[in-house]
Order: sequence, then C-alpha cells, then structure tokens
Amino acid sequence: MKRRNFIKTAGLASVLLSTNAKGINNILNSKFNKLVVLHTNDWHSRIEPFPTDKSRNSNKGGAARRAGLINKIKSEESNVLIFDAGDIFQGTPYFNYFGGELEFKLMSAMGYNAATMGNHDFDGGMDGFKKAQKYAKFDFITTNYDFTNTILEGRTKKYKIINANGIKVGILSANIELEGLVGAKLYKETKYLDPVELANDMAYKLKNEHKCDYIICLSHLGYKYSGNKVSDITLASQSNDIDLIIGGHTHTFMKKPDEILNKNGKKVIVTQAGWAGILLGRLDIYFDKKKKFLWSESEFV
Amino acid sequence: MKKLLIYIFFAGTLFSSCKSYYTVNKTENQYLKIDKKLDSIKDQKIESIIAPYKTKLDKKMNQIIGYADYLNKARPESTLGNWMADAIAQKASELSGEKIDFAVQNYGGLRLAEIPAGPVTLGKMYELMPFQNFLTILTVKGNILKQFFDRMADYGGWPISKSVKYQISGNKAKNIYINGKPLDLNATYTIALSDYIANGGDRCFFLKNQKKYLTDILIRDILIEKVKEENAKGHHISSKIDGRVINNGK
Repeated sequence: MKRRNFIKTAGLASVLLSTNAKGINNILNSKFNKLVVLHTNDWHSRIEPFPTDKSRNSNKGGAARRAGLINKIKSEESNVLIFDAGDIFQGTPYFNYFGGELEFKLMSAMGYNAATMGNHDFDGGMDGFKKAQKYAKFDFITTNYDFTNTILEGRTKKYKIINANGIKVGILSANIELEGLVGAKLYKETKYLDPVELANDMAYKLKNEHKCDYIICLSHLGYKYSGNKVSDITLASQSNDIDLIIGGHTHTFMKKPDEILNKNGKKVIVTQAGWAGILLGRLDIYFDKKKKFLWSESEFV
Repeated sequence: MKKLLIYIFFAGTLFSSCKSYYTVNKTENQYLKIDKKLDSIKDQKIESIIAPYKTKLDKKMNQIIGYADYLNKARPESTLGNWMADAIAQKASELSGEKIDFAVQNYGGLRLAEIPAGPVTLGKMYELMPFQNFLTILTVKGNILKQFFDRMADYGGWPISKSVKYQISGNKAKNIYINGKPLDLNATYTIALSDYIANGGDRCFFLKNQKKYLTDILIRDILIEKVKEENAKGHHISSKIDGRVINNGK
C-alpha cells in the first residue's frame, strides 16, 4: 500500500515537473474551464511607444511590447481570446502615410480574434478602410452599422461565434453615431442603427438560438456621459444577455471594471483599457461546466 | 452487482453524451501596463514587420521644413497658440478669398506642449496636430459668437488670431473686441476653425447648425505650409503674447 502511494505521488510530481506553466494551469483550472480575454481600444496607430520626453505618456505603449506580453500570456494559458474595441486608425503619421495597413498587419500577427470599428476607422474613407482590410486576418463586427449599398457591404460581420475549447463565446458590437463625429464624405451611406436595440436582439439570438455560454459586446459608444447620449453604462443597464462590454472611444482608464445590473438584475461587466496601447486589458473568466439532460431541466456539475 | 455496474456504465455514457454548458463562476481583472519593463520580451517578428515602414516614415518625418523660435502652449494665451491661430486665419482668407474675422483653435487640439528653438521637422507638425481636422469657414451671428466666447472662457482661453481681444471673468467672456470693434450681437461674422469644433465638438453644440463651408484642407497642412513659407523668406516661425486673451480670474 505504502509503495502504491509512493508511486502515485512520484507519478504526479513527475507530471507536474515535466509540464510547463501552461500544463500546470490546465490541471489546476480543470483544463479549459477558464477563458482569458485580452483587450485594447483606441490604439490610434501608436505603433511605436510614445516619444521619451517629459510628457505623461513618455515611452509608454508600443506594438512589439504588447505582442511580447501576449506571447507570454499565451505560453501560460490555453484559452486566450484577443479583441479590440475600435479607433485603430489615426494618431501618428503611420496612419497618414500607410492608411492603416500596418496596424492591421500587426494585429493579425498578434492573433487578434475580432475588432469593431470606431469613428476614426472611417478617417481614410470607406475605400481607405477597404484597402487596409486586405491585411486584416481577423473579423470586424459591426452589429448596428448598416453598410448596404456601400463598398463595405459584406466585409464586416453582424456577429461571430468562437468555440474556445468547448466554451461558446458570442461576439457582437455597439457602434457610435457617425453624424457630427465623422465627415459625411467619409462614411457615405453607412446607416447607424439603434445600438441598444440591435445589441439586445443579437445577444438574445446568440444566447438562445446559438446557445452561447458567454456574450461579449465590443463597444465604441464610450464609457459614460453626463447627458442622454447612449454609453456603455446605458447599454449595460438596458441589456438582457450581454455578459461583458469591452468599451472604447472615451479613452477611459479604470481602476477596475464596473459591474452594472442589467434588466434582469444580473451583473454586466463594463471595462475599457485607456488608449494608445498603453494598457492591455486582461480578464480571467472562470466557468463551471454543467450538463443538461434532454428530458429534464435538472443539472449537475 | 455485475448488473449494477453495467447500469452505472450505461448511465455514465448517457451523461457524457448529453449537452454541456458553462456558467461564470468568477472573473478577475487586470490592466497590464505596456512599458519599458517589457522590452526584454519584445516580439521580434512584430519589430521586423514594422521596420521597413519605420525606415520610410523616418526619412519623411525627419525632413527639416523650417526653423522656429521657442513656442509654447499655455492658457489663456500662448506663443504656440497665437502662431497657430494666426497661420490658420491667414491661410483661410487666402484660400477662401473671403475676409475672415478671426480664426480659433481648440486648446485640446494642440498635442505638443512646446516647439523648441531650432529646426522644425515635418514629424513635429504631425505631433503638434495629429488629427485629420479640416479647415471650416463658419458664418455666424454675434449672439452665437457670444456663447462661443463664453465656452472658450470656460475652458480658460483657446488660441485665437490677433484680430480678437477679450477678457475672461470667472467662466464668462467680456469686453470682446473683433477688429477693434466691440462684438455686435446682431452682426454676422465669418470665422475659421476646424470641422471638429464647427460640428459641435468640445461642447460647442451651438455651432452645429450654423452655416458652414467645409474645405478639404487639413489644419496640419496649413501649419506645414506656413513653416515652409517663412523658411523660404529666411524667417523663423515666431510669435509673441500681445494681450489677446486676459484672464481676470473670478
């Protein structure tokens, strides 16, 4: 008996020793019951770090550093998804001279899974976006922009579903009103539809028809406003099925994400990671795996 | 006993084939800083994608387009702000052929605290004005302008061209003079500014529905043009504080 125990312990130890951090994490977190969501917003073509000077953002940010950090996290975690909440374009001459193709190439190389469009992503016009999009190997989600009869028709998606090793993640977006914010020549016949209504409809569909376990909204509405302008806080409080809102537009640095009660009294997480790639937002979401019988509503863990 | 085991096995098979789903147990959050501490793990592949773009861009951006005397940004009035607003006013009237009463630039739109004395690169102008803001000519009545001046006063003073003089008292503008004459609430004025403000940006929503002419000239290109123009004449870009905006406090 003693000998058996020894073999067991030694066996476990050797498993632990022979696996890397990722392996240990998999064992500790019952393999794929954990999702790591990384996110950025408003990185505004900040390819290189800010110049080193006396300003507040001196030497912060930088795509190569961000990619290095993503690599490190991916070496430690099995279930990593990366999103961006828009305004990828505009802010450094990289955009003015190369029209955004470098930004998209880098995001593709970093393994972004999806992004949404911010108002500044129209700054090169519809054709500018279309040209740059050739270099994007990830999807753009624009749930409440209607691109019918424009050159972007069919080039973005209303939603996306990612099967993250069994965890079904539904992605939708909430996009900002363009009128008054972007020159009409730039967005042409793009129609802005009610973000709250469309996000809710899509979230319902993802949850109930597509049976998604977790619903993420990539939002470029902005964190919150003093007036009536629709924001992430408005959306969260008027939603039913959204679990997480990854925000942008207002360049908000938060100490921690907000937890807003939705229409059903359920918590919705509202987060945003500053701007310019100064931060990489990270959420570690732990799930309980449950099973459902076809003939009953009872469940067991 | 054997039968029971078979049942358990059977039940187990059923369980494993039935639908599984996930509910959130807990969520942890971090905002990870992207700074020089990550230099040791920088992604080399990303750097190699950037490299050819950077080489091309640096060559363009390091081009010297002129020379400057020291200019800095401050409120209510500053040398950098005055230089910019004057340049915009000059170019706006040259380009539109209209008489421009004054030009104004929102303070937040100036993205450099200073321009050091010496050579000015093209890149410096991009840093000063990274946004794609287009020159807009606005025709507006004096009573709307009063609201605009009050808004500027509330922000502590915005860069404005030399034809204007006013004072800030608390968060209001007073003693407003345009071309040496007091602001006439009933008169019509022509002003030059960015599309961002003309479209109601920075809480200037009262400008939103005014008669406007949107050009396709970037404010940045106006500044670049001005630096080159001065350089061609052998001049530095320079400016001085001349009491356009005075803050009297409360």
